Amino acid sequence: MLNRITRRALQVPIVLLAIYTVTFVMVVSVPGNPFQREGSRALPPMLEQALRQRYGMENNWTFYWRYLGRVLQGDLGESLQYDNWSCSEIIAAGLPVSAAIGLAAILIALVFGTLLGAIAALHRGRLVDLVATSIAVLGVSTPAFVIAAVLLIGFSVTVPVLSAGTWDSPLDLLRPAVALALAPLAYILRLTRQSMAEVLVSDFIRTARAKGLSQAAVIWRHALRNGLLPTLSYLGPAAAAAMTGSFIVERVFNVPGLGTHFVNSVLNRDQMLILATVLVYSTMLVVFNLLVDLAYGLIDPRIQSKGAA
Amino acid sequence: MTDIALLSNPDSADSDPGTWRRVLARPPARLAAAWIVLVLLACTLGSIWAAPRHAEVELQAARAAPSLGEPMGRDLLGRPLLPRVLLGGLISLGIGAWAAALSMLLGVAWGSVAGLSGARVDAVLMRVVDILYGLPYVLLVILLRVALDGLLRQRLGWGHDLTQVTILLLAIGGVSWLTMARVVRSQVLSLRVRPFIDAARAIGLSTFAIWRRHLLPNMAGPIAVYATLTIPQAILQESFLSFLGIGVQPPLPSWGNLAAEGVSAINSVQSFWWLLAFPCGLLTLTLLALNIVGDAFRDVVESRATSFRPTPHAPPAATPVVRRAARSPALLEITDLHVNIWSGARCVEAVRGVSLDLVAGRTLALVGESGCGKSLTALSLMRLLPENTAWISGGRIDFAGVDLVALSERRMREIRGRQIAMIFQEPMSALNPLMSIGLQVAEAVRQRNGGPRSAALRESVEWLREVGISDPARRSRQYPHELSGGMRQRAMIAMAIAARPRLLIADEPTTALDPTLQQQVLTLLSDLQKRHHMALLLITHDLGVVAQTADDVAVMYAGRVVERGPVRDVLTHPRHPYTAALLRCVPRLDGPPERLATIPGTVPAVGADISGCRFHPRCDRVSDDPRCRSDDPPEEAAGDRHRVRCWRADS
Amino acid sequence: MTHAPPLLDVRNLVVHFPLDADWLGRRKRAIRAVDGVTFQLAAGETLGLVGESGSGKSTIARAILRLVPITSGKVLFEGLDLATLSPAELRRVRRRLQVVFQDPVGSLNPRMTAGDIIAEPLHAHAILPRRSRSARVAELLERVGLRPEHAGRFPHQFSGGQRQRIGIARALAVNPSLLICDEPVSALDVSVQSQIVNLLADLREQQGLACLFIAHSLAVVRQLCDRVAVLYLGRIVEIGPAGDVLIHPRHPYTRALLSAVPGLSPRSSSTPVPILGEPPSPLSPPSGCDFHTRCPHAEATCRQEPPALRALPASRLGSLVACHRAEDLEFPDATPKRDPSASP
Repeated sequence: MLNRITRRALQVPIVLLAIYTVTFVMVVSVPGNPFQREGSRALPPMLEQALRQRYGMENNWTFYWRYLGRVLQGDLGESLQYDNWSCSEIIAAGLPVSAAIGLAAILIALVFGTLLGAIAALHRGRLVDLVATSIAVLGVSTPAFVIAAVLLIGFSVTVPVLSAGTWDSPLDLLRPAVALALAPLAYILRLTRQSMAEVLVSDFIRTARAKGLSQAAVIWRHALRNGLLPTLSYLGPAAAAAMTGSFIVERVFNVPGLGTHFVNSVLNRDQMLILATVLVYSTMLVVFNLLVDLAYGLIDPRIQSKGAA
Repeated sequence: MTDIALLSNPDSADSDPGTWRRVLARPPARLAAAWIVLVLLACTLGSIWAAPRHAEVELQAARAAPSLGEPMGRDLLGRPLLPRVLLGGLISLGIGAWAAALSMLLGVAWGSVAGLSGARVDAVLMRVVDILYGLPYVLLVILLRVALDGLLRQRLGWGHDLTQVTILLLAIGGVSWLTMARVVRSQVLSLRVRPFIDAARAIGLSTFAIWRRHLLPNMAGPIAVYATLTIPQAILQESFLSFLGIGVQPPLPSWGNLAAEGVSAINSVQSFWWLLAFPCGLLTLTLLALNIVGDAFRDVVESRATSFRPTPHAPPAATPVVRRAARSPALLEITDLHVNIWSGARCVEAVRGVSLDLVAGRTLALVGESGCGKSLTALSLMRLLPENTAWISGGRIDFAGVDLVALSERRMREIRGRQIAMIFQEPMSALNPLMSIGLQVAEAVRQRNGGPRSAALRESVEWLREVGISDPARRSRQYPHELSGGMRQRAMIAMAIAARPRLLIADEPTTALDPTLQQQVLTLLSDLQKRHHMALLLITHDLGVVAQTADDVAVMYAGRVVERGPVRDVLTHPRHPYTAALLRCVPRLDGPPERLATIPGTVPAVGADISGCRFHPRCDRVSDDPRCRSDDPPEEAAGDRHRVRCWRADS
Repeated sequence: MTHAPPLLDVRNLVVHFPLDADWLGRRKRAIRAVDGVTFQLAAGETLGLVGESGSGKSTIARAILRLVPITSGKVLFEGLDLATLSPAELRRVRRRLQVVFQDPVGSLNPRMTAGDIIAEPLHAHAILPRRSRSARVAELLERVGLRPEHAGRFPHQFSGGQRQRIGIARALAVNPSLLICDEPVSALDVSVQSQIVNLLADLREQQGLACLFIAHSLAVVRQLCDRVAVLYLGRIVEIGPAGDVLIHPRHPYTRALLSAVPGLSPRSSSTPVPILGEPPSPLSPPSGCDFHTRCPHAEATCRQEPPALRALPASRLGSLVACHRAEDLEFPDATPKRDPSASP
């Protein structure tokens, strides 16, 4: 077990390095001058050269290594589009908000998705199942911005207290999180319902019933753990999807998160900010995936031992 | 081969021509499909009309509400919304569909190559997928987009609109193929080890020929299932990107950027609902329709054990007790048991009036070939028939004087696992893979007499020792997959006898084991039976096992017991033609090789319509007596406790 | 004993399956599935390979068919070393070497009709113009006891026995000289099993096929095979004529295997010799003789030195045994003679 944890943990920096490299290559190979605003006059070469030297971007090779060095020391560089702002400051301003919304969304999706999915699997063909399946289909089909718009309008109009656009209390967190949560909730619901239904007709459940266990004991002790495994492995992709969705939701609710900065940085070729944000996002995703993987290994003993007879 | 396997849907070949018909038979899917067709037609045809009109700016009429002249009103720049919505629909749906097609193509190619190659190539290909997965989707699309823009517009000089659409299509498709590649690869890996692929390789087909003729057709089902998820996904992705301003750029409309305009309009005081409602509503409804059709398709294609059909009949009321002559009291007495099952869309009788009896301390073997109903009979004893697939439709099961058929579920649970226990054929799938062996045995112990977990665990170690597992303390902490096949079966036996049952049912306990292990397990069962004074009901298809282990035997054919009695009598002087023929068919080790006797024809399918005696089409004594073809023979005595169902038993 | 070169000549075949590659791709452990197997098969002869799971019998078949890579040793078929053939030459050789698998469900492509399945070898080797193929398919269907109209049906519409017949027809389509049968009747009901066994015996006579017959049912092997090889943990422990090995076994494992087969005579008087303990793991095989951990007759030599496969001085008919104590051990006839009055 320890072997496996250390092996997976060691892979993290390698994967991050690979991501950094790939992103770097893509960022510098895209046409467009990072120092030049779209449509404005071309910069005199001397000025550009000086700027490049200031930021350590004389040529791509030195840029790659120098930036890597800076990151490893905790310095994420400077933004080119927002003068006088370091990337760390921009990220520190926006990340907590984005991360909070994202985590809240995943939590909501996980809790309610598994609950509804499990209940639907246990009462197939009945009203609960129908309601749950409808929620699932709606959640998958309604784009996040539509849900967000509905929540925005609905709550502004009917409950003036939760007015749109301000950002004071933790309740403001709730609406964007709910808007973001609906799609992953729908997927988790479907996944849980399907896998619980399969587990409930499997052989070892029959054995458990043959022992005389009550239905509740069968479900709680045997069905749930096996039935929820596929959902656990879905959490990784769910987190990735939540990230994309967060850009949308932040725009609709005017949330001061990281998403808008990121999108703008790509459009403006703000190379260091792009690299910084990608590294931050990717690190979060990779660490999250690692934790999910480890949790899976804790629950499913088949993963660990290799070839024991 | 248990007959439980027959319960699955026999005509469920994926994606055969009947599939779409079955999908469209469901009303929600029909409605959804109609909507999709409607929207596609409207957007395609309507765009011809809309194309010249969609960019006409008229600032004075900006934000005009819907009216007769302008059914969808005008937008922020005074452009009419209806043509923009129609054209936008064509663009959004078009990009989505083609991007999905591209991603499927790439995914199938990449996944197939990865699945068919050696470990190194596979590892490299999938690492690439993993790394690309780790990058933010938005970033990839934007960068791809910008790169393609440079290529297509500047180098090749394409026009602005066409370029946009193509780029977006390629960008979305070029990023979405990752999951498809994983799905296809795992399909290829699991199909690759199937015997028919080995057969194809042994014939000498090239890898490409194997992929095209054997792998691809068998992957069509899962790929189609995945397509039903990918298409709405791609449309959604396009709308996300356009919403964020990095997809389709205005003035070219798409439902996504129209929605963005609508959202930006909300933040002012007045509500311009039409700007939001039309694009968002149409997008949502179309996605909903696509997902409903997709769900229906998946349900039809994947319908197996999880398909749901309610039991049509309530269980029968208890038949009145018939006082039997007091002989040695039978522990178990089954009288005229009938079990029905769903076979495809029909309800058929799989067990047709089975009667058995078993005395405490003795072993009764229930023997028969596949489809005869022996496993169903055993499951009926425990009332463990798979819900909604099989049910008891008649008869009594008297266990120690109580009719199990009429018992409430609650009282049945008290009997299950305490007075009657059961072990199954495949120990790997019959044990919970996530729980240690010790805990699973302890569970049976606690069912019997409650008590704390620690005491139960200690006792479970003793039970493991009782069934002959060496080093039981260490083994009890292990998981099923860490044990060999023989040990798993012993663990299951431990679980069953830990409850100290009066009757142990063993459903083909040794069929999956090697001969030497088989002998060990059978010896173990005999020992345990004597030591704990249990009755043993042994289900098997192996007549040799019957001869070695059982005191009494009942031979089943096509849902009926055709002959039963003491083993010595039945095996040395069989009265039923089927029993006799079956015994002749068994190859012998002693004596020189000879041509084996056979029974012509095959075992009838469950629920097949045969008049008269179920065996008569294959019987060698059938010619003279007309009753064989028209009437079902009753059970008659043929010796001391020896009973036969045959019109011609005396010949 | 013919003096012609054998049809199939297997010399010291070794097949190891690597496990556990570390992150550099280096292999650490390996399963010794086949560990030095040597035997010959003459044209027209049937050799049975028996053993339990882990004995390597299926792997031998797969190695001969080149479905798994050979770690070392030679497989000579019709004098050609299969390992040295180019892909094109190998394809030509495959025409002469066909296989029937165990699993009637998995060995047929569920998406192809029976006719297409049987015709596929004809198609792959470009034998017969397309027009004549359906006639050949019909002829093959009849030869295996099916009807020509079955050609248009799909596998799931057939019973297990019928599917196995289709598999046999497919194997016969190209007129092979060697047929490898990998447990062809193990998954079938008893009444169907006897039909297929008879079919195989008939076809073998009609075509003059040589057959490598892999099974774990000793009784079926007795019916079909001229010679038998008994395998344990990847090695042959005893090989010889079927009548000799199965009636007068010399190796303790063969003896125990024979007594483990439940006979039809109820409670036969010969007390079974139970094999103690579990089979050893193929990852860490025992030292010396593989069987010594479970052998009731094991001695010191058995623990130290692996026994070689050798002829016994007193043995007739060319049987070979791999046991240090083969000369000392005397087993009573493993299978009691059939009592004529007791059988039905």
